[in-house]
Amino acid sequence: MKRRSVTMKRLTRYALALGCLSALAAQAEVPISFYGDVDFRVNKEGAVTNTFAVPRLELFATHTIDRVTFLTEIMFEVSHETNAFAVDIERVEIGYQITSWLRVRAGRFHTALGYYNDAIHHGAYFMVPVYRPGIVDFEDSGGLIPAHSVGLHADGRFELGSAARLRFDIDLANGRQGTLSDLANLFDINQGKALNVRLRLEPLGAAEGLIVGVNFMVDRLTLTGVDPSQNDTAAKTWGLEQIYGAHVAYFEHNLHLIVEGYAFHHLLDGNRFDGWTLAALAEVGYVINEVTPFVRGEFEHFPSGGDPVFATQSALGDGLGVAAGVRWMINENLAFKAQGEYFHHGAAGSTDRLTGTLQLAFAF
Amino acid sequence: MNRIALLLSLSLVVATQARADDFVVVRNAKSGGGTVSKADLRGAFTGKVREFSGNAVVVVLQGESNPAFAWLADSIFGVAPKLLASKIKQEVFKGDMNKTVSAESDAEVIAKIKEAPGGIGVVSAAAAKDPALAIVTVGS
Repeated sequence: MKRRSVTMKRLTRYALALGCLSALAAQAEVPISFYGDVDFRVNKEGAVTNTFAVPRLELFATHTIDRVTFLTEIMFEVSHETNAFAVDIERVEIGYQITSWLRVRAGRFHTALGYYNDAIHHGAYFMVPVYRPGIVDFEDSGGLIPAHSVGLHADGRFELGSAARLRFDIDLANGRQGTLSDLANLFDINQGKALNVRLRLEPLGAAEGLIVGVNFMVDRLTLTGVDPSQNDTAAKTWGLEQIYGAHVAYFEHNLHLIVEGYAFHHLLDGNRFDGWTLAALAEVGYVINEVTPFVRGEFEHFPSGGDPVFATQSALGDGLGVAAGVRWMINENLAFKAQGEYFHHGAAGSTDRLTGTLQLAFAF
Repeated sequence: MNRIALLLSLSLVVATQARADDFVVVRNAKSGGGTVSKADLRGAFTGKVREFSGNAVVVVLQGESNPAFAWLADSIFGVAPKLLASKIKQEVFKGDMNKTVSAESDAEVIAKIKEAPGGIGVVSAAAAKDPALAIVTVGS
């Protein structure tokens, strides 16, 4: 009875959310786009399992009036804990184009880290493989980067003669919270703001399409439950996180290439921990008409004894993964993908994972 | 035999030229015409170039199956229309580009470009006669 009541409440909430969004969209004549995917997955991690899945449905709307842009992305995503849909507001942004080289945005947005995070975030249709690589996965899915930010963002481009453009992105945001999966939507527990700067060189002429970028992010950490010497899981550990990154991407001449690497430097409680976690990925594909075969590799290396900030991830030891598959863009609304993936964890006793996935991704 | 091959090649070149001349890139005259490099045009149609002469860029496009869109994909981007449509959709989804304005015909493209000082689109050369429009010459 209680379960039925919870389900009814959940359904009512979704109906209300959908109803409000539809009404607002209709009033402002803002079209809503729908993104998502339907999967069939076979997984071998010890035992072999198989399942059909509808992991998410995204409602995306954006509208521009002269120099002001509104954008929102509302996600209905299945929780790994409950196997049921939950609503998540992924992005809410108000942007203003100040000059040709400067745009500012405020709200909740995708952190401008590396290439993958804000270029291929959600929207499986746009992704060549079926999932994001593990190292840039979302905060609540074991990823290492702060994928979302709440705060201010500025970006723009300068012409460097006729040779290249220089793109900059600056994020000033609430930053990481008590645990890595928390996001500071309403309040910032440590008041200190995260600062992220990304610079990209975009050559023109023969090398047009090439993107070469670097990142630096600094954030004050106030983490809970990371110090094993404290029994109180709510006890706070203070520290500093510095993220250094570099990336290269190229999408011309039928090539699909993304290479990015990160170095996470964590300093906790007056040098009680001072260590580096390293991570990198490379994804290469070749577009043959509508079909793109691809291969992807990624690795994670944690300091010996683990990284308390990435406690869950580093408990499994260093990670090494490889995926290969093919995407077929059926039309501008549908893409079909087939992918096999192997992931090895270095810790003694951990189990390697072998996954095969068929995916139908949609964009309407 | 060689003469036939030469004639065939020449006729193909002429036919290609004729197709290329069928469509033009047009902007609102307030943003000016003149020569714009291919890189800047690609930038304008994918959100990298966000202003023309101080006016926010507004991209007006007909659907992927329209010949004007196919011309844009082929002549300016050198890709299949399907790939360009996906690229534009992705740039909008990323938040790097404002949503394009949809139009069903050349007349509608022209009307919508006239409404926006930074408007840009592709129409058939025969339709681009309106004095409120400026024809853009595609540079190298």
